[in-house]
Amino acid sequence: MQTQDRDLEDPTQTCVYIPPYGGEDDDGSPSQLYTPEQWRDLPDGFQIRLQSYRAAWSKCLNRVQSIVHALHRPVAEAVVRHVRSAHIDVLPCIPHSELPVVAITGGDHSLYAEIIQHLNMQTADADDSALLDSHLDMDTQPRPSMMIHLHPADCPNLASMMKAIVTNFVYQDDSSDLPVKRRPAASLASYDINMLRAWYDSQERVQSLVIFLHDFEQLDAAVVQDALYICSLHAEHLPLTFILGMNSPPTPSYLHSTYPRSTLSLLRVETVNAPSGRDVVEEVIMKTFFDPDFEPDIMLGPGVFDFLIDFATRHTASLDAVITILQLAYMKHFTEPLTALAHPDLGTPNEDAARVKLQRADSKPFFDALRARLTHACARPSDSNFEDDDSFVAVQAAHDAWRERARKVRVGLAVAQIVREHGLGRGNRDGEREEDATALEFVSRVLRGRSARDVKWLGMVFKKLTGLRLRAVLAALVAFFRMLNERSPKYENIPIHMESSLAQLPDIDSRSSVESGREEMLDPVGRDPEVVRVSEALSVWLVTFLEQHLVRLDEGVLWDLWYTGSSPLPSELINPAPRATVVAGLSYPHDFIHMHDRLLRAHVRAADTLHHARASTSPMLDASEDEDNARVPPLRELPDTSILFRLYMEAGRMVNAYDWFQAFAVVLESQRRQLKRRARSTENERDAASKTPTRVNRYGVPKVDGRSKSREDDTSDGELTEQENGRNTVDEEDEEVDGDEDEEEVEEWRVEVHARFIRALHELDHMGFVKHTGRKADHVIRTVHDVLD
Amino acid sequence: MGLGGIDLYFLEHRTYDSARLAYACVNAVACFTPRLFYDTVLNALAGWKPVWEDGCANWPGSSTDGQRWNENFDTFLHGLRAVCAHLQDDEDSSSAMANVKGKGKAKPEQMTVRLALVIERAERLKENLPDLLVPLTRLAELSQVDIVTILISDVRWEDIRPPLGASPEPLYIEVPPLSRQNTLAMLASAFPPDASALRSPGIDPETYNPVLAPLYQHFIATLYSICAPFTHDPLELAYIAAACWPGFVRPLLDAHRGNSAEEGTDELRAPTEDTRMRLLRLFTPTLTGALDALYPRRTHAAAWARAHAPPPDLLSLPPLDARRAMEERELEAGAGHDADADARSLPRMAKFVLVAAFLASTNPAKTDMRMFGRGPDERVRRRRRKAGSPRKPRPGTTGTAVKIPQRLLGPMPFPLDRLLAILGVLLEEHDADTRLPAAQYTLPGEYTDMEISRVTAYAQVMELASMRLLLRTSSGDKLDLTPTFKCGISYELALRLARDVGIVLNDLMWEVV
Repeated sequence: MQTQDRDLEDPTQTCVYIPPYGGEDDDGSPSQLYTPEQWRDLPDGFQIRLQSYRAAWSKCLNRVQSIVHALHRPVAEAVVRHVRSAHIDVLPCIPHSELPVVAITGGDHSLYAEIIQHLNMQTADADDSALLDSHLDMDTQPRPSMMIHLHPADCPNLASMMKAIVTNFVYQDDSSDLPVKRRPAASLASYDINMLRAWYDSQERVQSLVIFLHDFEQLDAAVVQDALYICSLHAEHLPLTFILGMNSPPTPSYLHSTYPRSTLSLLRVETVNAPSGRDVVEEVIMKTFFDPDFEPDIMLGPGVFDFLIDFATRHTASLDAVITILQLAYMKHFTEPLTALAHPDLGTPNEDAARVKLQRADSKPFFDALRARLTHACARPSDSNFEDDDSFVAVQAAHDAWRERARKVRVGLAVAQIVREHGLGRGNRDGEREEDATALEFVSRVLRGRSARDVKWLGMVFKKLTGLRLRAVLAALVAFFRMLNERSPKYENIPIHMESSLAQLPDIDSRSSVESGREEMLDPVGRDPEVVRVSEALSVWLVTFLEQHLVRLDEGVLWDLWYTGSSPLPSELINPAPRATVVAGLSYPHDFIHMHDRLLRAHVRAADTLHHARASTSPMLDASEDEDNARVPPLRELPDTSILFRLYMEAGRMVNAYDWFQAFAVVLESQRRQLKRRARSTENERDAASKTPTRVNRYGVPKVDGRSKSREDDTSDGELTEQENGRNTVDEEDEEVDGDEDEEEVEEWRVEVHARFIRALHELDHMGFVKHTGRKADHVIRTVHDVLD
Repeated sequence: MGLGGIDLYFLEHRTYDSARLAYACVNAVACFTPRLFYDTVLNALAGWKPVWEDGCANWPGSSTDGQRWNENFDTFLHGLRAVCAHLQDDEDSSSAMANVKGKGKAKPEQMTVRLALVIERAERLKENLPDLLVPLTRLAELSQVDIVTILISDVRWEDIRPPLGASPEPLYIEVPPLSRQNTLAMLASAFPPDASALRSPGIDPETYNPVLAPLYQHFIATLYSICAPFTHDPLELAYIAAACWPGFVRPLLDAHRGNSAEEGTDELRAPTEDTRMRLLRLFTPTLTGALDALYPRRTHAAAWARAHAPPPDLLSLPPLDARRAMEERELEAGAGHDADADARSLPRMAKFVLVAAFLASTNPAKTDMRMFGRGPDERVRRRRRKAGSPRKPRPGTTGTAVKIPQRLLGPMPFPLDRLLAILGVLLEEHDADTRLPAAQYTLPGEYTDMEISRVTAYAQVMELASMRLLLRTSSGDKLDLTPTFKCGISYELALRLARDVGIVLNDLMWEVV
């Protein structure tokens, strides 16, 4: 609680977790059930897996970032080139000075960081400056550019924007303090661009002044229009350059649709498009997971890739989303205890220590589980009795075998990709035919082991290639295998074989090179017989090669340690439906509780079966519990907020608050009677059998939880009583109960109902279910209609 | 009016008989606060340039106590008087020394100082400095100095004039648009007399050789005849000329290089009549293209000049080949970017949201039930409005209350809930088959319901709003109100997006185009 208070007061915390009330002294809290001895986990399995996850993820993330970096580099260089040449490369005889503007579309923070870094690099590209200098006889010293950043919050009006521009430049470094004490009233205003000009004139080194406008679409167009106009009035004297960070697509152009021609004619807009969209996602995924140069520790399965493809196509193809999804997949993978062996040192400095650790008594559940897996997976039954050392070696061997398979798949995919790209030509991915699927879809099919048709189709394509294309494909394949052979000489015969095939091909004459633009690939008529022979021979080779290499990764021993297989991504974490979940929670609170219970029980039971130590719960009990869960609880057994919500769902478009309260009071009244009956029957039971054992919950922990939960259980028990006794008896008893009450109790009850109504109402209000009309007294408007039952 | 800075030439160079002129030319957009206005005017009149080393101090006046002139209009008037007195003193002392100083020319005998205040974009005074408009028109009377206020604006005085006749009627001068002859003369005068100063990477250094000046005159005459139906603005014409000229003379310069290599002559000669005609004929289509691209600033002059550089040695080709080469080059330059591709690269959900937003902005809200209602009894959707709609004015009646189509009136704002509801219908009918399988959703429509209540659907709307493809009409600060939006895309784009996701847009529009 103290930590929480501290967090709440800490202004740097963006998010504070407030546990549900009574979280700390909750003895029956389910977290106790996750004790290590009940899991097939190592005692410090969590830490080991976290460590293992970090290693695997940082390796993957570094790879992704380096790919993104490589993608962004040309864009950043283009921007910097534009900025550097903005005031040099000017067309002569332009009637007025234009403001150079570089509009970046589709950029993100990493790209901006890269641009800023490039701009700040004082050592300009030798090529650039040489090029420009050769024309302009400039001094070879690169001109440093000063850069300021403006965000929409800085520019609510013209005065603020101009002030931000002027003061950010003028006071950017301490060295440029005013030499004399400034009298603000008798000198230029801080939002006067003449001040910037005076400052610039005093600067000895010629600098270009770069203004980076972030989130350009969010800036008020009228303000920016005036600011640009003012800056353009001084464009001859101030080397200003604007960089616009835009989110909108290049067409329809936001600049052209929002700003008038008079403003656009002041600008010289260079548009730079950052790579974005599905192609980037594909590039990142292919180069991270299916590049023969790189081996990720954990390989993702088709379940994750399918989600990723769908998410990128349907919702957003941003890199942030991709990285988050990948990270989540990694995290989920490491929830499985056995994945502690993904890096076989088990958090110890060396393998011997890891062996020792595995043999310790407290590692037994984990070790048993591992041995069970190995025994199941082992082909030879005689070896089923593993020694400790053996199992460790077996894991290593399994890992090596799996890596070999993964490597094969990568090589196979790379070859298939080369044939697809060079054989079909880029841009042929309309997806009209099943075989024309994008690379990611193809990968997904390969991982699922459904690639036979694609392979055959590729073989057919190969068979019908024209001489020119065949050459291109062969050249690309030779280059690829050469590169592969530098690391392992496994494929050293293939390039030799291909080169000999290449040599057999007839020379390309000029006619075929002219016709190469046309798609004559699928028309074998008129091809050279030599080409036909070579392509047919190679197509057989290709199909065999691909069939050998595109193997399934979810076969072999312990594959699930390094491969996520077809397990789906917990997409609810990426893309939840909060409103629907809240509505479902309010409508069916018991389902949520039961589901949670069942989840816990599943874990407990798994531990039980493993140990054979604890008596398993009887199937009869399970059945009765499930039946109990399936029972729809009557309205009065729900929590207050749920009762109020159910009544709300029955109302019309507007809810009369008084009627609502009346209905609520009726439900509470029946709930109260239930409770009283329950209390009395308990009393009777206690009288009858004085030695009733202490009530325990299903986990064997004495019940000490709060008011609402005990009421829930009481009422559910009461329901049984009601069923036993029959309706008439109940009514009689109710009257009896009512008769007992004195006026004070009635009054107290009335106040309680009021309080509970108000509390539940406020909870609904807080969750946004109630809108106040402001016109009709005592009425509120519903905000949720048509909820599916 | 709209004469810009052109006639300041007269202010500077005109010799007055008995007055020295000091002027200040300020821009009403740049002087967006009174203080900025006062500072700029007084510094300009006094010929004072604030310097950084001095703390950017304003003109201090004759006294050294740091008098402040920019506090309010009253101090400004004092400032004007002080400037006037200062200039008069200057003038007196300089005439005593018989030394002409300052910007005006003066005769050795006694001269008075006259001030002029020129305000460009004066229409913005009404918005930025509304309190100053009346005093400015009576400046001479209020300040008691010899000052003339000149307001330059594209807007007529009737629209700027303060109400209730508070300001005296000014002398009104309407500047007629430039005649063809004058425009051409002005454009011709832009040809630089000294070509050596104009050097730019990527441009041939001989481009503005004075020998080519006569050719330039012909060139701008052709340019004018092509562009005049669309714009007379000399600045725009000069801009287009600057973009086209380097490409236009390039074949000539190429030919000259070839000749000089062969014959050893080094001097560039003016082209013959034949060559000139040939060039003009070859480049006429290019000039039209330049107007098309540069007038709306789809691209800028330098980029256009780069992209449309003519093929090398054009003049050495036979005429037909030259023409074909030019056409191919035009096609190449035009085929750089597929405009549709960008919008089409939007995610699938974004396309659905935009189509839904377009429908919500175009269809009246009360027709939603009929257009999108899919009740159990409406399984077979009725096509709306066959022939003989009651909405059309009956024949014979004058359509006084003819309803203008919403498409022409611009998009209507709609609440977020309505957008999501329409989105739900579109998704259910056109997207349900492409989703990943989800076994947990058993009821019809449940999957779609979950999809439109997911975070990404809301995020998509906000993302599109941040791209300005959806325009948010409600304030972002008020959390308890339903946010409302307007559609920000055109009918054509909506149609393309709809086609991409397989929706027949016209079937869902209340007023079919």
